[in-house]
Amino acid sequence: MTAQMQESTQSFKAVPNTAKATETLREAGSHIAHNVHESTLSDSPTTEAESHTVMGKLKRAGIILAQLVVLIAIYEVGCIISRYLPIAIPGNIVGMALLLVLLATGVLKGKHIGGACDYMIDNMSIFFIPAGVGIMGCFTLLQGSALKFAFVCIVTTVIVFIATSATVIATSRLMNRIAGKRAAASTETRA
Amino acid sequence: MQVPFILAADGTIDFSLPSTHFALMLLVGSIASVAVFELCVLLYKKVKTPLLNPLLVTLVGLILVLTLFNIPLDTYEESVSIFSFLLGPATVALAYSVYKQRQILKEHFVPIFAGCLVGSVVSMVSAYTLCKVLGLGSEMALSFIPKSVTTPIAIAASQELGGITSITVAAVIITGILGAIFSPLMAKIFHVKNRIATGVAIGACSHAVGTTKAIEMGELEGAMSGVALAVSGILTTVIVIVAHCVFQC
Repeated sequence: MTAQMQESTQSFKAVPNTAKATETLREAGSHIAHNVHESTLSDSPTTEAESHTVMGKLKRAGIILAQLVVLIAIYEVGCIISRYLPIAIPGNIVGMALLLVLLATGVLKGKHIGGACDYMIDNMSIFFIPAGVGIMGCFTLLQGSALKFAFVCIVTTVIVFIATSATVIATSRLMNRIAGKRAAASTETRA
Repeated sequence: MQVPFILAADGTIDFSLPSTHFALMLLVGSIASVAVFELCVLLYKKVKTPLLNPLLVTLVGLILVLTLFNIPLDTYEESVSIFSFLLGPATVALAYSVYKQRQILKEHFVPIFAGCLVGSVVSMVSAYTLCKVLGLGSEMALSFIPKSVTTPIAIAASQELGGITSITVAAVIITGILGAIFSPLMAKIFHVKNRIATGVAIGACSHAVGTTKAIEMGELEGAMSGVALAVSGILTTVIVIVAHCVFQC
């Protein structure tokens, strides 16, 4: 898997930095996305054939449940740490940083926690239901300004989308141009 | 049948035994909500129009049911407390999606980080300014500032700023649903063909709810959206805390 990742990195770097930068980015992206898909498959605790049997499914569910307990434990530790922090960083952010550190240092491997994490992220919409139904509670607060409320939501969403995507594209073009100039300069000096 | 402990949205666990009545309510509320949601997902997969976003339809349906049967909101919220609790671990799980994409993150660190930074700042400034221009009052404007980040982060930021938490949550959810419905359309209208840029933009403008749509659009978009929602969430927290310290001192 790592070899493949390196290969894709190399193929990405080998492409000359021209005006087609976005095109290259997209290609490399799909390449890497493919690798990621493979990596998640190899990280999964059961094999393809095994996951079709009832026992395999049960085993998978058990593993995800056990991983979920670990995930909740990390979250709880994050909440406890956040209570003793001098600044107000929410417990889930502390927990996220904690999990990232654990993964980066290799204390936890992807296969130890990945199943539960993917499961939680895939089903994240469900966890927004209580908060969403809670909108009911502020209907009275919003009375009279509901239209303005909706207007602000819509306009800012569009503005943020444009600003973010434009920044990403402009920055990656700029980076490519700088890299291109550097490459050109080095070939000139060599010549 | 008794549930051995009660989970709160802020991560605290109460180990005292609840009454049978409450445990039953917990079970009914959660199962009913999941059932409604799964039905909406099925409907969405059948009809395939982005307008029938499963979360949107679920929320409208549940709100209608609660109003029709005169069920108090507090009772319902208690009955689905397990979901509000699990939103915390779900946010923690995002660290894994960031970790999984470390390779591509390393390569495109500057564009992704710049996108998240600009997105967070633009979101906060535009929301506050628009509210002020429309004359919505400063409390409302403050509640709107963290509207583009995921609920737990937004709640913490809103409390820090002195906004109204329920307004913040409403703005967050509505923004998320808007993003989930319209982001493919926006990408088409504004000719965003770069998949990384699309993903980052979705994550920065409509957090986890938008990410569900990004995952549908493609694995790279989904992953980038996950990364962006984590990074812009952290950035928003940091900016709010720094701004708060600066304005107080």
